[in-house]
Amino acid sequence: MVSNWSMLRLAIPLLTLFLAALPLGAQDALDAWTRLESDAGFAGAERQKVGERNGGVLRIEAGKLLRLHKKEVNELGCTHAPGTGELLALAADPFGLTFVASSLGLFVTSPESAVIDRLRLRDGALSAAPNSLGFDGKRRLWLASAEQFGVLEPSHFYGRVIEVPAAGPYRLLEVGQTRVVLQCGSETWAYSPDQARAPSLDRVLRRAAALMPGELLEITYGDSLQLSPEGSAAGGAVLRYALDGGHNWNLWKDVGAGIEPGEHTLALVAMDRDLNLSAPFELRLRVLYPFYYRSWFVFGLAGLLALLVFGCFSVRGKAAARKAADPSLASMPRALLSSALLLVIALQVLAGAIPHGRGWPFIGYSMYTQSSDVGHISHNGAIMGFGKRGSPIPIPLGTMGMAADNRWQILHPIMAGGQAPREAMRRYNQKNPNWEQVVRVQVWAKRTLIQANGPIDLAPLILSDWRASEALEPGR
Amino acid sequence: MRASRDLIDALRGPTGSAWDRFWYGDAPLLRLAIFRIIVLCMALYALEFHSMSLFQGDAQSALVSRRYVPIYLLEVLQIGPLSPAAAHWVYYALWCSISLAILGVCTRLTCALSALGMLLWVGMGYSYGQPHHEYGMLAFALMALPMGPVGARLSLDAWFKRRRGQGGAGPDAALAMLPLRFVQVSIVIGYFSAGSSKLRYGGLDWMNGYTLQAFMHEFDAALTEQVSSSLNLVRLMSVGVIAIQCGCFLAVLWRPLRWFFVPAIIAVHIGSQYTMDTGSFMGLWMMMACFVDLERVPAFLARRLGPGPLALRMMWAVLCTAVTLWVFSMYVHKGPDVVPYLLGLALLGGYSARRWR
Repeated sequence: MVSNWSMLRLAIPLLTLFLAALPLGAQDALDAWTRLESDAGFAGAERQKVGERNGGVLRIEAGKLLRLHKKEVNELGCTHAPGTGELLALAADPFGLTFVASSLGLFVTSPESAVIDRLRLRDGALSAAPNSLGFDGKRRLWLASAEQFGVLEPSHFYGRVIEVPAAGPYRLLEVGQTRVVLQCGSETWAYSPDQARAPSLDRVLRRAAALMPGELLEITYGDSLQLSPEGSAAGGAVLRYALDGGHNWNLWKDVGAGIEPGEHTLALVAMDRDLNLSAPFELRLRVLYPFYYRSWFVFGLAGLLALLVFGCFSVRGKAAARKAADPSLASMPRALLSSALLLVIALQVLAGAIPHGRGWPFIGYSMYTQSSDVGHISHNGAIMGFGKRGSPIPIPLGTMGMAADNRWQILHPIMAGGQAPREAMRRYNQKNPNWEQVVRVQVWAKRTLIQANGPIDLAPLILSDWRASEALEPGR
Repeated sequence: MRASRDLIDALRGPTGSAWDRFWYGDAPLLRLAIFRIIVLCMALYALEFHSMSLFQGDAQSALVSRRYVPIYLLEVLQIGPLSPAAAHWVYYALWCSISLAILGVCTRLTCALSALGMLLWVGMGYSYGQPHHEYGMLAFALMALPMGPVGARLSLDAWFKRRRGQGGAGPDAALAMLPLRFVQVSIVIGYFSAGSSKLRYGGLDWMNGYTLQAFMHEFDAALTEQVSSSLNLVRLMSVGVIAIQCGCFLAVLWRPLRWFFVPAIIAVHIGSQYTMDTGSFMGLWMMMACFVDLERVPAFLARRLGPGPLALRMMWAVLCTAVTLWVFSMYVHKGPDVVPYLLGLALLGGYSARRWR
């Protein structure tokens, strides 16, 4: 006969083993979901009308998307050849865009654009067209389709699909500041993001040896990095990287072969299912030139060639001097000069055939060489300020009064936040005291679609948003 | 004079090899002297243009993230970034050497020093951002100047020589063509590689009009919207750009074509400034002066501004004034203000001295 105590003594270890065997993600997933009693009180996240930043209103009416602004009503066009499909819902982005869910995919528009444009979503995003959507307090765009539930980063369009503890079809009922309510068939569930511990990039291995943050790696141009980063995050870590402080966190892959010679920084992060990024794990890279670009080879080869050419010109000069009975044709300075001329011209021709900016002044003159066609989207990085009335105020990059060779040298610090956006606003306002003062600044990548009947402005990508009243804090 | 003829004529010359006749011909010394002054004025322009960049260095600033990534030349010579203080000293030294070279004091030496100094200055400026095409041709022009008798005219060296009774050189001299020819060839190689690479990488589709529209819309220039909205106009511009860039070598072969190619290349750059916000590229197209018989310009203008129908004279006067003011304004926009005024004074002084001698 087995006593109760014996059963308990057996059950406790078994229960412990069972709980320990559960994957961490699954445990986290369970913590984030709460089943609700009913879906009563939720209107559904298929908003049919939203306000725009400039005071306009967008609304879905009779299958069309209409914009009412300053008493004018206009129907928005569509750049997607098959059309918009059935328009289902609108979501107002805190940064000023409007996202549109339709049966044919996810579209975007803004007050600057008279069209809606179908987005090409990136890794991890929902694969099916969304039926409902909404923004939370952290500017994450939550989406549901009949088959999937997930979240999208609205500046770079990568996302995550989140496992749901119930079967579909799915539909968002509410997207709040800290909670998302999802209809799952006949059940109603609430998802609370950010409940699990923060993601972390645990270690980065290179050939089975762990690297330290800030460590210097040396590779030769064209070699792979041979890195194996490992991270932990709710829902499984998705690893992303950025090179040289770039603003775009790309899906991790070994990018060693594509990195130009020189000094670089590589930042790696782990991303959880709620798009939270871990603190970056930074490495310094030194990419060495291949041997045929190293100084000893270049100078050695150049010296040999120079001697060869000089020899040819000397012999030729002496022969010409004998033939023409003109000793000046055999002069050494002339042979030297001819050698230098020939080598410099040859280098210019070589630079023209194989151009590289770092070879200045032998730079080659190849630029703007790629052809484009109908359907191409041009991007134009810019700083956009906003006054208290919300009207956009383009801020010329030259206003900054700093030496900058390309626009991203100014745009990146503003995107990163801190002192830069405040200083940008201060400088603009100081230079233009009689104009509307800027109290908010965004970094845009303006987009223009090349079409057969003329270029058309699309909604810009808005990469950052900072408000003066929030000092160093982001405008989110 | 051999070098004043076009290349085909020169290659048919009776003495020396084709190589020698091409490079070592004689040319008017006055032409070389004027070219020297133009190139050195553009060197001052480039000096001023990059001064903010070198004075700020890679000092941490809230507003700008700049890294020093040396160009290959500085990297192999292991020349590191100049501190802002050292940059100021180099700036003043370059102002002195370029000014002395303009005035023609120890002309070949000061030209050579200016060339080396500007190689360092511009190369370092580009090392804080990315290299651009504008001052590559200027660098070659500066390096070419000391190869010829650049101080034989319009220089204090020549004036002192005449005062010492050592006699001036004739109007032409051997090797005077060399710097001009070198810059011509460099320009032609540059533009040909620009045009041919567009066809090489982009194919004939580069001229479909959409390509140029796409490039224009990466910028907010004054005429971007107006020009890019007309597909036919943009197509015409695309074809024109390829034809001008790939065909400019013809200007070396046959002189009359310079009447087309010199203004055409300048028009391409001005067009890109107003549609793609590329900047004026003045440092590049001013080097086209190597194709112009500069010593004949005063007489050319005198014939058109002097006798003749009033309407025609007025038209030429307006055109000359407009072009002068336009170049003047473009120069002072990014270059040192004082230079055009000083040059203007020097021209007036020189003209007056000749007139009242």
